[in-house]
Amino acid sequence: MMLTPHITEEQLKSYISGNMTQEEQINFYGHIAGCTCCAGKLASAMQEEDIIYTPPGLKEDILVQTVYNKGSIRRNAKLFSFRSKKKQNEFLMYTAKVSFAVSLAVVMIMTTALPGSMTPGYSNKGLSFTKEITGKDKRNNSKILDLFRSTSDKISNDVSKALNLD
Amino acid sequence: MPDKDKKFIEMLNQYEKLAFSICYKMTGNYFDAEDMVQETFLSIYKSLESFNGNNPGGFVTRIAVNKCLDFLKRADRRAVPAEESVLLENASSVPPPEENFLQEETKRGLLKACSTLKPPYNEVATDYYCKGMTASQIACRSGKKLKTIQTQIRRAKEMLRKKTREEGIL
Repeated sequence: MMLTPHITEEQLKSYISGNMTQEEQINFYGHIAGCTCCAGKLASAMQEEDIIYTPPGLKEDILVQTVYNKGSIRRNAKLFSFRSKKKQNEFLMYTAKVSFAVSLAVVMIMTTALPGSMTPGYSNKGLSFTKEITGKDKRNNSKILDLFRSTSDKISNDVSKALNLD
Repeated sequence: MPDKDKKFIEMLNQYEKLAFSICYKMTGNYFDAEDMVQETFLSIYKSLESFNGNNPGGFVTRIAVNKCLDFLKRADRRAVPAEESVLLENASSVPPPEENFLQEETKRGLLKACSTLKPPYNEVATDYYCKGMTASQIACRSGKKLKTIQTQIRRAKEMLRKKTREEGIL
């Protein structure tokens, strides 16, 4: 659908020579924006001029963003996935270290809770320094031991999984 | 290399200067024209599959004109309402091209503008705009990273754009 008339030779001439009024220019550009045919006429009229110096770097900039871009996107994606994997491994190592420290702390607490050690404990009689081991304490101890065992198993599983991933 | 890329590089080689001339005439600023040429060819690359191959010059020109009209409308919206329309102002601000001495004139103007920037932007801008070096060539020669040079060029361009707009040169 063309609302404005096609560009004439005269219009082209006055555009190239810079004799167009502002209003004429607006109409001129407005028509060309919607008409490839007239845009082609302007293109061939302009090409003879070839006047303005363009920085050669511009071409490279455009190519980097278009033709050469696909490769770099792929490279970036690879780089990104590598990074995230590295981060994952770092996180695993950190988790392993923390779990190890926690289990060490649990072991230490358990050994101090064993009979004969000088741990302050409370009984109905008041403050005494010898902890009486009750049935409940024993059950708790075995529960803690089970927990410790399952945690260390989980850690070794995770670590071996992480190593297999590489 | 795929056919699409070959076709694109061919078009870029043939019509880059044409697009630049049109964009420069329309925007009235060297660095705005540079941006518009970039936008033009980026959208050509995206729409190349739908292009039937007829009248490539017209195809490029039409896209460039559309990009510049959009740009001028945006600039118009940004401008203070009391001001005259940017399109009207810019349309008359660029003198008609007069033979090849304009090439030399443009180069001289660029050199002068580049030399007013502070280091390291003056050197990078001179290499890029006046000596015709690409970003990767500058990076190679100075031993700096390409990313660094690209950033410096971008910043230099922003400073040059501001300067040339304020002073009404280039």
